[in-house]
Amino acid sequence: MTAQNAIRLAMTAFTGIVLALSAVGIRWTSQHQPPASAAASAAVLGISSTFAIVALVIIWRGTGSR
Amino acid sequence: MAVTAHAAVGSSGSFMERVNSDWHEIAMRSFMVVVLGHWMEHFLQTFQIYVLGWPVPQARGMIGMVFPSLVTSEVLHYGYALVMLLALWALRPGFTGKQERWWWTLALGIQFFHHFEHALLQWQALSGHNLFGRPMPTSIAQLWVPRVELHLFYNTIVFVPMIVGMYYHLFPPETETARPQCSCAWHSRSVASPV
Repeated sequence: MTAQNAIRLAMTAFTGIVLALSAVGIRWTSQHQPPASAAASAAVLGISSTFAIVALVIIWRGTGSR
Repeated sequence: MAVTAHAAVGSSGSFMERVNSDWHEIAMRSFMVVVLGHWMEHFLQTFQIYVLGWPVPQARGMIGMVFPSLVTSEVLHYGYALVMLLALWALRPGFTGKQERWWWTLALGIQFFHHFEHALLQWQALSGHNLFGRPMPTSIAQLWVPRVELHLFYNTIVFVPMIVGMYYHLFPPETETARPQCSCAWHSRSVASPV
């Protein structure tokens, strides 16, 4: 495994935790928070997930470094 | 014979010049230890709430279990936000490539607002005067978003541009023409090895 892929995998593991916690969080907040707060929580957790996915796409899409 | 692929300023520059050249790698590693340690606290706190089902006030992460007052201390939260802001600013000149600089600057900009929110909380804690008629210090975004989710959000949207910037810093694209001043880039290590 190249160093580049090792770094990619480490970053992927981290963003995977963010995605998993966000998914569980959206479910938890929908059950334990008032509707307005739950909607706001779902929005920010959804944006967090989007950021994490964008990061994954960027770091894996690259074709290598110089 | 050792050849370096970066243009370090050596040992004669100012502190800021050295921290962005020959000290950049160790400075970045040290910064990441602090940032990842902070992340572990947030991960653990949200795990305690979402997965273990602990009540929010009892979910204090790891260090907060030993020192509960730390979780409610606005000084600690503000201090960390300030350290983040200063480190993002101080280490930015070392990001010489176009893409790495753009992503790192985005993280700096978002952290500036995150820091402003914590400054508001800190001011309320010090003055004893809470904004928006709330019974406790409240930031602007907290008017809509509960604190645990809000801080998970802020930390994510600051950290994601950071890791993309760091990725480009470690592995500059082939199209990148700027010459790094530090030893962070992976190719500089292989080139710098004795041949």
